[in-house]
Amino acid sequence: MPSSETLGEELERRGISRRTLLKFATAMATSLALPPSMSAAIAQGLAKTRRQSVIWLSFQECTGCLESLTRSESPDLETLIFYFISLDYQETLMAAAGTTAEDALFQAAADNKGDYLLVIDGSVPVADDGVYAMTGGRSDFDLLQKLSRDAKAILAIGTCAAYGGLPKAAPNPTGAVGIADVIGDKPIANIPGCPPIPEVLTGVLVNFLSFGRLPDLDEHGRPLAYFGTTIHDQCYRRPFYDQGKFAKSFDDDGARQGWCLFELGCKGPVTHNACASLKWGGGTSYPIQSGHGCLGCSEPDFWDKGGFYTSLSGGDAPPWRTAAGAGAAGLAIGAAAAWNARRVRSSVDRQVAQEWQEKKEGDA
Amino acid sequence: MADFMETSPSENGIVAALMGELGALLEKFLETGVRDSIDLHRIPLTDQDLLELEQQLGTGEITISFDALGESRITETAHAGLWRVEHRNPSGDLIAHLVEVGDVPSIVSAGRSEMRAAAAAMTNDHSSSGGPANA
Repeated sequence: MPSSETLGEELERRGISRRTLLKFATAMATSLALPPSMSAAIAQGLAKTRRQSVIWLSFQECTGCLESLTRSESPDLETLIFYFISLDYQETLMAAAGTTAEDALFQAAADNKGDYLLVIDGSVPVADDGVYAMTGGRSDFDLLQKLSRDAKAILAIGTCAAYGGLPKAAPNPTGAVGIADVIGDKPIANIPGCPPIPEVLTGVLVNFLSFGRLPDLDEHGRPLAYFGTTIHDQCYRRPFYDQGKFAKSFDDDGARQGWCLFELGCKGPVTHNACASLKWGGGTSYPIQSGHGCLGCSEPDFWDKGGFYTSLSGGDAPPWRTAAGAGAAGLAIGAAAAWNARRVRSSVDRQVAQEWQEKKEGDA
Repeated sequence: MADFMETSPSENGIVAALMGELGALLEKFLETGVRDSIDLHRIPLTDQDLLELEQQLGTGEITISFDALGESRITETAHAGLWRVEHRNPSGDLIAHLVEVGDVPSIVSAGRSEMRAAAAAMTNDHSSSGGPANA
């Protein structure tokens, strides 16, 4: 049920200190690529808001997104549920089933009409009147239309919900589409990835709680703070690309020395995501660090964009390889690449921070 | 461990880039008083890069630690005005890893509202007991 108590009041009642909230906000600010001054703004925003109702629907999906998201560490999803949100419906996590669960779903939607956040993982099959995904005699498409009507905003979690994903792969027998393909009158943030990075979801949730709106998005509806640069620009192997040092197979000397995986099909140069910086498993590693090229899973229709092991240049080395191949020039180029990557990242950070600052001043 | 970890940090230039950026932020703080920080979680650093960065930052005189739903540790670096800030969750996982630029890390200062509440409580204790409250 909606509560009139603010989160600040609730946290104080539970003995959560200002420093604890500020620490949490710091973790979120860094996750959202915001400067430290915004940590205080996030903490203030969280303190003033009320517990947010979240209704989570799973459509045509594999549950990999939820598996990933329950492993978020900064903050973990349990912390969010415990302190900041009311997860009113999530089929896999909730104890209720059958008609009891359905009643809970529609009761939560009625209680929080116009204010709930609708989170969706999985694509929507629209072929043949949506018969390829039914729950309780109702198609996913019908359920989406009904529940999106009174939602404050929608988060499309994973590449399937964002762009159709694997179910949409040719020949797309179910007519799978992304949420934004069928819902046009609501704010929608896409958080693609197969699976998505858990900290991105929690960061977007905290953004929404703190400032009452979705973060700034790129042309594919993705939060700019996380998808503003390519994997390539953030990759620790980037200097080797600029030096023309490429692994030719997964077990050659170049691979063992950590050289660039471009020629082995890495899609990092055209893939926007935060894997290279946030990484996975609490910052442990990401695919390229584990020796495999990026598959480009956060880009629309990545499954149908050619072979995972075919390089972006069609199998040839990048044209500037020879120019950068001289060993003597390599070190300087590597340093320049690192500077450039920092500059690109900083440029995105500044843009995001500026927009948040304007929002903060507008709220003041 | 993969062999790429054997790559010389100086070869990728990231640590040099970071130190240059930190120097620029320190100059900005001296000129404008505006705090800033670099989030090491957001930067693609290998273990060797981190090690080299730690070595270049060095260690200063002050270490501050506190427990706020997990341990936090703030260490002054050998460069005045640069602070190494590590926040952990209750499981001990690192959730924020910053180099903060400023005279004192912002989280250390006591909050105004909490100080007001403390002052009010102390005043009440003093008036109700007829003397200074016990610590």
